Amino acid sequence: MSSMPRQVQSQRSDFDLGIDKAFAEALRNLPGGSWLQKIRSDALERYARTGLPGRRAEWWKYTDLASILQGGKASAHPSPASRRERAAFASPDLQEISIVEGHVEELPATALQDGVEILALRDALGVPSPWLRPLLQPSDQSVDNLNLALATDGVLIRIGQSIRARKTVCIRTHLSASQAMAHWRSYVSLEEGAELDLIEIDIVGSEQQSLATARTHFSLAPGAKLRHLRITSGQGNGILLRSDTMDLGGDAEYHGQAFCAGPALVRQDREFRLNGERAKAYIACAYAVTTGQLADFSLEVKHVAPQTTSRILAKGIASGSGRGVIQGRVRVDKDAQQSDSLQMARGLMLSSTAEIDHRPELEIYADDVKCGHGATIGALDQDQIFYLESRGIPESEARMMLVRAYFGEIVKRAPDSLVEELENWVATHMTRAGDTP
Amino acid sequence: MLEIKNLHATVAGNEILKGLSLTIGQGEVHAIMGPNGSGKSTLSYVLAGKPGYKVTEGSATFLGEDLLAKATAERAAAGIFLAMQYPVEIPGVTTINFLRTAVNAQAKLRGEPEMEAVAFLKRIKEEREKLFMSDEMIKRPVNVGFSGGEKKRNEVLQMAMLRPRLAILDETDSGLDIDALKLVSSGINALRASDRSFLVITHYQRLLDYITPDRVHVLAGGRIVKSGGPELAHELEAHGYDGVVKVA
Repeated sequence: MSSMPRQVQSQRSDFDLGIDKAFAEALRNLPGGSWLQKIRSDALERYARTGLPGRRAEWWKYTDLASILQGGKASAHPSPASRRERAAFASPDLQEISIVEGHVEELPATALQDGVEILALRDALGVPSPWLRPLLQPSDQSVDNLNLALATDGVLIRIGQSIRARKTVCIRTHLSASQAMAHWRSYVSLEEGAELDLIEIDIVGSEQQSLATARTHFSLAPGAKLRHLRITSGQGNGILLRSDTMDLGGDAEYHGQAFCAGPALVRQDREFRLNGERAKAYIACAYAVTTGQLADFSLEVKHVAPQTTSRILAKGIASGSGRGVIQGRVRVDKDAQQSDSLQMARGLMLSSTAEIDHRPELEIYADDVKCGHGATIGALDQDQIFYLESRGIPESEARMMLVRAYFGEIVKRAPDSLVEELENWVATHMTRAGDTP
Repeated sequence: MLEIKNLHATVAGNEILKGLSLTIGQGEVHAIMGPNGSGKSTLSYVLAGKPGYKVTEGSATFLGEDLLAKATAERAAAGIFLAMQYPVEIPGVTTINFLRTAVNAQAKLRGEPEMEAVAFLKRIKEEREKLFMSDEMIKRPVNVGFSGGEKKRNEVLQMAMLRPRLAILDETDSGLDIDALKLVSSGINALRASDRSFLVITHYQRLLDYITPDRVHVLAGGRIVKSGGPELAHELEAHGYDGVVKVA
């Protein structure tokens, strides 16, 4: 690390000192030999060169990570960390995997199905494998580099050619106060024509400020299809930074819904690259935030090949002094003719002290495309509340009904078998923000 | 059942009701007629408890209790139902789910047990069939994509399910063609009962051909200026408000 610029060295904060310590431990404890240590050291060096992203970086304008983490500008109003999470989506039909504080603790004991492979990263790192290469790529994002340097574990899923995974894979992630930091890195690979239903449930429960980063690379070969539900809940002062990249080959399809409510800060950087002709990405996300919470979905879609399709529907509600961010950046390359993209971000402000930043962006280099975007921000409809009240439904219940209905549009997009459970989850986790203005 | 005394109310600082008094006995049907801007809708909103409608003077007693001290939902649970002139659309909430929630919320506020799901479904089927509403209609989001007539039928369905003690019909006839008017009126007539009163607010005598009132009142300038039997409605139709109010 001798090449680290002096400027950064002179400003070393408690956060950076913690990073050094964590790095030393990661090097000591992880398998992978020198080939991996080199990758990690290089990643840390790249991280140190830029530091944490902050306001100066346009893509992090609304989530000033640098000042939140370095300056100790933790949430002034930590949300209460008392409620225990009920295990949502508990079903014997799910293939369960759990990651606790960044370590894989539960994995399927036996081979599930021919062509379905699930491994812990820790176990796979013993030998350098070309299969792992996409997972160990350096990045221009400093948080990704931090994650690459420090990742302790992760999940590798590979679905073989033309295989349809019979069981829905459910990855449960638990983060608690016992660790100040957790970093994991996963890889989901669907070979040609493969199909997978994936649920990710992140529970962040930490009273102290803690930092978790999760980096996932998805690779969808031509004709592959991924249905993906991600829900994030929790309480307290935990920070979760998720970064996803997804490569879609020709005719590959992604159908995803993400819901987020609870932790102090959840940022999801998600990049979709539509590399093959007719690849399609249907992306929906929803957040509910109240005082002491920030939810940020920063989405990038790159139409690289012709006739590719993308849809983004994002909806959020903010009450108290909660903050919600939706960034949607869609780029249509010169060769991506006849591509079709539409993005819509809607927000509901339930109080005058809440903040919602929704920013759609379009960059179009092709001349024969269909692209649209929109962003709206409103409030709950007082006439609707009165109508419900006039039938005997108390105001707080009326507000919750309307919030539930608001998210219904996204809930309905989930696979049929999950809709009922998801409705309950939304009612429990996302309507509280609507309870009081 | 309902006793309103010297009621004054303001909306956005403007006094709309200026000393309105009205008494409705149990099982009675009263009609309120009056020109535009006389305060008819304001009266219905004040009784139902719409935010923004401020009572500055006077009282309203319902079944012996101070109605104005209750929150909107509590008034509904006490037995007030307002069939609205412009029923609101609620995307994402089905009529059946909305009604189930409302029936149970009222029961809870009254300290009664909730209605069993099977009993509820049986009753809503009976009531919707009387109004020629399909099962599909009540499984759609509340009033979304409904015609004017369908919206008013949905109001009557809600009334039938909630069984209020006092139903206030705010210009229920507006926007209805003659067939829809007959259907809605017969739905309302089916709900007439010795322990249920009605306050029918309307511009026109037309609705009163179908729903015969016991008493007719003329509301003008925020007060009841004339009261009479059903014949008063015909008099208004013949001579207009100006003629009748001047005579009064």
